[in-house]
Amino acid sequence: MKSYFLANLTSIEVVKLAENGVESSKMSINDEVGVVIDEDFFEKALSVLAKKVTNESKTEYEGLYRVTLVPAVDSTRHCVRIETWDGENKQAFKAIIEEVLLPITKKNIIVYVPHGHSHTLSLGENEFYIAIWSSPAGDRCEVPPENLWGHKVSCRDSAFISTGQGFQIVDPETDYAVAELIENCLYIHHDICHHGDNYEFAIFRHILGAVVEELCISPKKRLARSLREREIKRAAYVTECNRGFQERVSSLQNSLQEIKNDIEKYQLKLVKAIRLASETQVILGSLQEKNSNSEDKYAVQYDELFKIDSIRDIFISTNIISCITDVLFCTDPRSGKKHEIGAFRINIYLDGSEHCVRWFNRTRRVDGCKSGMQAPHVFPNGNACLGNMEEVFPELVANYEFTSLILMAIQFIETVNVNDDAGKYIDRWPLAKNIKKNLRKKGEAE
Amino acid sequence: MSDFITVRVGKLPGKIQEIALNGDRSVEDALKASEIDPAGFEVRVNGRPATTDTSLSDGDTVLLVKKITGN
Repeated sequence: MKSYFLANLTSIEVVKLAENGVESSKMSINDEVGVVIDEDFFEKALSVLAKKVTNESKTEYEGLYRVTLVPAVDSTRHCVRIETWDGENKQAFKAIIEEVLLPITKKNIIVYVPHGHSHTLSLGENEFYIAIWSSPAGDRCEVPPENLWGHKVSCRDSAFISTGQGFQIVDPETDYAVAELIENCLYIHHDICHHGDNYEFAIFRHILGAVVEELCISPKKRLARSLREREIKRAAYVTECNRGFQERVSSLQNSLQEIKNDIEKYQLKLVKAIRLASETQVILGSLQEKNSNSEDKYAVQYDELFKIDSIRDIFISTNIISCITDVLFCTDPRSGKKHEIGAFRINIYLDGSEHCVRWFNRTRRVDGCKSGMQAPHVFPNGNACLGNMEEVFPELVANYEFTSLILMAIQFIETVNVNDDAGKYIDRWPLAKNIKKNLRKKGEAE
Repeated sequence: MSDFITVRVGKLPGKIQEIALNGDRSVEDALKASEIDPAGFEVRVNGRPATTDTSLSDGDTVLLVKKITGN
């Protein structure tokens, strides 16, 4: 560690150091009055004072060195030269460069305005270059923020982005890289000299101030800054990766839950399907058992149908068994009188269509609850108001119990419920005794 | 004496720290508060020679410097 003793500074110089953030402490050595400055601030102090060291010697105190300073640069020897310009208030910009940057660079400063074009500057070691609205490479692909360091950006034309080759000068509010310092070349990315107004001057001063700070920073501080920036980027990297990881974990957890839900759903479906298969197996077994030797059984069944008194004939067509009956009668329980309903064709639909059974009166139609009723409980289209028989017929069809089904279909015609809106009209069918002579005998053609 | 004062304290070469003092305000108090051992060092207040008994005012700087001694 070293500290430097700077003797005979003026009070103005001491104030200037303080204003530029250089810490100093008063000190007197052998009646010589001055300030001591820690080595970390020494380079900046020289820059602020625009002086250089001509002599360095030990003092009588440990770690404290006395330095003799002389003006670092004769500013009359260096100048600012505007090589190309496309904007307003050229002289004002030049004055700002002379005031802020020239004392620090200790080199001639050459200004170019490539005006929106990339521009590779020819580097000369003894010169410092400024390129306004340019970059060494790339195209304009970013609109600058509305404000930089709180000052309005007057020209909103598209700007360049940093190449990443150098030190980026960034507006802290917007994180926008306003300029890039690559060795001794400063590239300002947007058109900062379009209007030449006070906003542009203020932003320009900020940029040059940042350049001064960068040029004056000690290697130690530059290293510390680099490490700090790396640490910040490392933390951001960790945060970002961890966020992505957490999102992935969360997504997978959700997916897993959905899959578990699906498994549960499919398990329920599977159980239902197994049960259904089991039940179907039982029904199939029962049916097969019942219908073993089915051809013999149906042949017997066909013969049995003709043993039913009321049946005159049976016709078979695809999916339909048609049963032709004698005249069927029904007694009105209210009067005890027997009414002739008529001879019927009863169709059995083997595929379960048409409500399994339809009745067609071959003798007459009567106006009952509706005009042209086939029977008290059978509508003109042959469908019946089945009441409590509704589930019986499909079950008999399903089980191929046609003998029972036809018996029940006949019985349905021969039974009446006079308490319902259809059955109460049975008295509109003719009385049996009056039309006995009109009965057709079994075997007559329809 | 109830108001705080701020003074800067440090060894040369090295960093100077800023501390606040209340009540007693001697160099010794400032060194104790800064946990700096003055043994073997010369004391300077605002660059001028001083002792550990020297009273301090707001804004004073206390520096400890060690003289180089021969073999």
